[in-house]
Amino acid sequence: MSPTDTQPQIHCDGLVRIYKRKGVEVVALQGLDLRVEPGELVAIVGASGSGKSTLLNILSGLDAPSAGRAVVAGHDLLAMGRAERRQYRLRTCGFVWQRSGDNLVPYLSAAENVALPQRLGGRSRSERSQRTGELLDQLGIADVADERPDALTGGQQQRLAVAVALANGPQVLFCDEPTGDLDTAESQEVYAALQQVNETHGTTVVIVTHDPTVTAEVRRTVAIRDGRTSSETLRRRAGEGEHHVAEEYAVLDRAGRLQLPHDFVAALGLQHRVRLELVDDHIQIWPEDPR
Amino acid sequence: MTRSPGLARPSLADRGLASLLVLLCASLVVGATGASLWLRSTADDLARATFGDATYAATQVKVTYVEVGDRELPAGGPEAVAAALPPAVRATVDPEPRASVASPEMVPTVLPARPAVPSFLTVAGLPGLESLVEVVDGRLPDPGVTTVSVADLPAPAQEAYLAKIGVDRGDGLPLPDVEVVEVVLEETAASEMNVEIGDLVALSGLSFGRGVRPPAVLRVVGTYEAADAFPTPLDDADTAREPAIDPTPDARTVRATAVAADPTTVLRATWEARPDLRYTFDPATSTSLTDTDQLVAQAREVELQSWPPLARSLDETAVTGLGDLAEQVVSQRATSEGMSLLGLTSLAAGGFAVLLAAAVVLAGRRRTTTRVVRARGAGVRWLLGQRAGEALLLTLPGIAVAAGVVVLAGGEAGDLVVGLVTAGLCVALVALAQLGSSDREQSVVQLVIRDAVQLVLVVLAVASVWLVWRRGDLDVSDPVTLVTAPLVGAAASVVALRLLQLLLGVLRRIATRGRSLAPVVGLSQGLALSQQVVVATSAVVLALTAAGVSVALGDSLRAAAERTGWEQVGADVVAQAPGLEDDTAEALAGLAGVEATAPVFSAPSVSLSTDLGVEGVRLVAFDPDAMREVGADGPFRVDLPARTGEAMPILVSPDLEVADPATELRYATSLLPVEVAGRVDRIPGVTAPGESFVAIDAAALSEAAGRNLTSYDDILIKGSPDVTEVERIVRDRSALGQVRVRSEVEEAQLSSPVVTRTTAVLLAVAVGSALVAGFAVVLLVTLGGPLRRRTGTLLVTLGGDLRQARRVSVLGVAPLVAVACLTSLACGGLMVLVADRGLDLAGLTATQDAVRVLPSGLSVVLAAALCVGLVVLAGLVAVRRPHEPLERTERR
Repeated sequence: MSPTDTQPQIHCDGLVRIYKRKGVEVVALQGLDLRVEPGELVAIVGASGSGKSTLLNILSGLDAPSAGRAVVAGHDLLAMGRAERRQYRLRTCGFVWQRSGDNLVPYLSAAENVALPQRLGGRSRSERSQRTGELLDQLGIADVADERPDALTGGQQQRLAVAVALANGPQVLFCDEPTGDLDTAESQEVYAALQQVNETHGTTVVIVTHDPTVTAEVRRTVAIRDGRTSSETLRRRAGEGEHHVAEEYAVLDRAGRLQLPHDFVAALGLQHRVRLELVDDHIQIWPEDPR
Repeated sequence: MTRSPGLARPSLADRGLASLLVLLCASLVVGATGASLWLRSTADDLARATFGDATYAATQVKVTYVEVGDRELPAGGPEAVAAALPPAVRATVDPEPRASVASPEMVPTVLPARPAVPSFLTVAGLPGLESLVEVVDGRLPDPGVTTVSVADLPAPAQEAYLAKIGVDRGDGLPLPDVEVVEVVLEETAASEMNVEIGDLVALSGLSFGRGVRPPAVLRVVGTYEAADAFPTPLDDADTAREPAIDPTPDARTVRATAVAADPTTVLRATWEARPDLRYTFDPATSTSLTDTDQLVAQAREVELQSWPPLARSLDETAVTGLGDLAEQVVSQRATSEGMSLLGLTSLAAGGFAVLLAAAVVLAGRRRTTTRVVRARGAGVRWLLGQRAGEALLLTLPGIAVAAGVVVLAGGEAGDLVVGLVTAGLCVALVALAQLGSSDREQSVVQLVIRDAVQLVLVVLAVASVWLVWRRGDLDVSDPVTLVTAPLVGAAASVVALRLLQLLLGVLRRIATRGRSLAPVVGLSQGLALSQQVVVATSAVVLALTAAGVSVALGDSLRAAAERTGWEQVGADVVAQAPGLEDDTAEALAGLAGVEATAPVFSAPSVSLSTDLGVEGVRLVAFDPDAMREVGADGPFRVDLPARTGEAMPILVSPDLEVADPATELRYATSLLPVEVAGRVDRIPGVTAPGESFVAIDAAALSEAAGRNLTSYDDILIKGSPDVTEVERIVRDRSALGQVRVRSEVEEAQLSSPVVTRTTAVLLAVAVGSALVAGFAVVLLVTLGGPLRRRTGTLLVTLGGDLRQARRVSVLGVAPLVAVACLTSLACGGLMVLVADRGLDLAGLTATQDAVRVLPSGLSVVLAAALCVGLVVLAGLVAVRRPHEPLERTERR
């Protein structure tokens, strides 16, 4: 069964987001397509301003798309009302933002922070206590359960943020630059935590980052350029042992549009028009005949 | 406008914050300068108004010393005393006098004509000329402490005196002492009476023997030569100017008299026995009193002088023409400024606290800049200098405005100095606030220092209240008085926030057990905020306390004026004239607007049997029901019970000693059994302060005495009749009649210069405090804004709804504002108690009794409503911005 035959966890089709900034219309997403299967660990990379954070805000229910289609875990993000959106954020997805200040309440202890979404979800005291203990233990921060966030290291803060995001058992976890403020060692801790969450809980994890090294930490990396998915890199295990091979793919949208990698275009000096030729099992692209 | 290349343009918030600091500094500097100018200039106005009303042409410095024995006097007593006089007083003795008269009271500008010589005497210690008849009859003056033995009197005087008092020398009983009155006689009169200086004289005259008291014995202590056929007291200058010491060996009085009319003569004497007694005014330096500016200026130059040790004083009196007025001005000014000071110092402290809080916010916004500057090698001293320079720039507009105010309003350099000192404080506060630690978390040492400072603050506040309380006087020149209100406000805030933290901690632990989110997060947020907003909370408390104390003092002044009105009128209107009769009472009762009348019959002197014998007291008779009705709205109750037995119930004044309630009253020819049913301080509108009186039911008295009481001296009226009509009716009956209206008395009290001045300051303080309090509340709420928004946004992002986020915000800020308001109420109450103990408002409103400093019921209700309003306002401000996560993209 090919991937396209299953119900995707995240499905974006021709997603458009236009907003105004200081009176100027900005097209942040211009027909973006994305498909993420349940249990995947996906990184979305792109340059600053490419639209990756906008995409994450839409997927996490914090922003509404202007057009297109976006479905996450069966929730149509364009059709959701306020109440459903709230329930979606509460139970279906979790978030980890770059700054710990956006993830944690500074005057609550680590355990209280983890219990906070559970209170919103209406869990009993014993359920909260048990779940909080489990999460802190799994993420290796049980020893700082009574500490306030400002007493934790950057890595501990982000792991605590992951615990908070997982408090109500979401199906999808969105992370926006989760290692942006961390050093390499702390970044490794956070990626390890996310991988553990993905593997242990089966939670779909989407990481948005401009950190190119993330490719080595995830199985699939989607690159966004100018508001569209431009390419995907799949990492697979090759042969015996721990040897991994990464292959980059261009993304073909539902309308058959294809975005060529920039370096390919530059190398062949492609401009305006190209010439295509269908052969048995592939398509060939040539520069326009200079005639 | 161009900018220097490379310099980032300040954000709108930064520019707004800087503008706010400029505004706060300017408000403080201009406010301090204006307050100084206002208090000083209105004090001048107060003195000017008081002295301007007086019609003095001259005044006298006179000191009476007692308990000075002959052995203590040097051989050349008078000369020694004269030599020992303070230079300022001696200066009035040596040169040619410009004016002179012995006068403890007002000197009439037009002296009474003398019908005959020697019917009048100039009596040492009394103003003007006194009727000889009055003196001889013993009605004037009060002879004082000077006594001689009757045995020392000349034979004719001795015989006349003993005959009068019914003592026979043949009885062998020791002869009594007799009080003497020292007099200065006009030379011709002395000659006609054949008396010389030092003679003791017991005169007989037409009225001799009619007085209640034994006749006075005169001692001639001086004579003077009349300038013309009708000599006036001004002619006795040569005699009166010299200090006169009685040469009689057994004299126990030394009277040093200096006549002051010279501009250099001032009342600056202190007495060894009472070093605290000090007169600061000498308005008599100008004989014309036209130059009041000079008087007021001299009044400020207080210096102390020592009176010669030769004469020791146990009961000194100082008598000047204007001394009493001067003392009144000083007393009123002290009370007025004490009242103003409580509010002003608290308001100023609140303003400084707001400034400090705003400066801390600015420092927080510049923390990154500060950190970079420090990292590049800037030292603390350089940074302090740079920040102080900036702060100085911020205060310059305020200084400029203050200087303009001083110049335009005719202020003095001293006023500007006050403004400059305030500006210096502003600069120091703003500069130091920006040197605070750049680290968010305070170190243990810093926490310990903070706790220690707060502890010292509380101790100082308690100590200052204790000192003021023990002293019982709010002396405006005392530094303790100056700092009491600010210390109490700041310390109360600290204590209240500590207690709030404990309370929130307990509540939070309880809330943690439940499922609800808002209490846990909201209380936790409040707990976190309470540690960050101590200064802003202090500002709220100080400002609200200042407003509360000002309102309470204003209420007390109005209550005092109202009380004065009731004291002096006893009803809404009182008609006073001798011999008002029933037809007048009926005519008044028939006027439109009159609800009730109470005619009061008076007899000036009736005999009442007391423990000390039969005493002459004033008899006041009225209908008890009518009296109750006309005074029903007032603070005084005259409850005369109904007669139940043979004895008539009476009310007596407190000074009458009647141990056995059953006693007798002689009225007309009847000896009436009466029973003391109670004591009242006064019959409002009828009796004078300190007067001895008996109040009785007019109908019962009439029946018992068998006489109709149809003539009244006072008719008390309840209602709002046409006063002109009342006056017409009363004047028809008696040309001497007068009508007093309670509302006019109150209005007169409230419009007196000192009350006007005080209420103006109190009103300004109340308005200023309300503004500062409102601003401080907004600041307090705003300071928690980032934390609140961050929490709210996170909650909504996590799936909470807006209502939950708003509940959290309200729960985070409402306890803080509520505690600040409650603390303000407590502080206001404490400062009202302090004011009540340290201030005597009766001096400002001519109230006979002490006036309590208390807020009115309406003010208390309004204060409570204001507190509720502030909490609601804080809640509204806290939830003003929705925590809508969909704003994320737009804000990025």
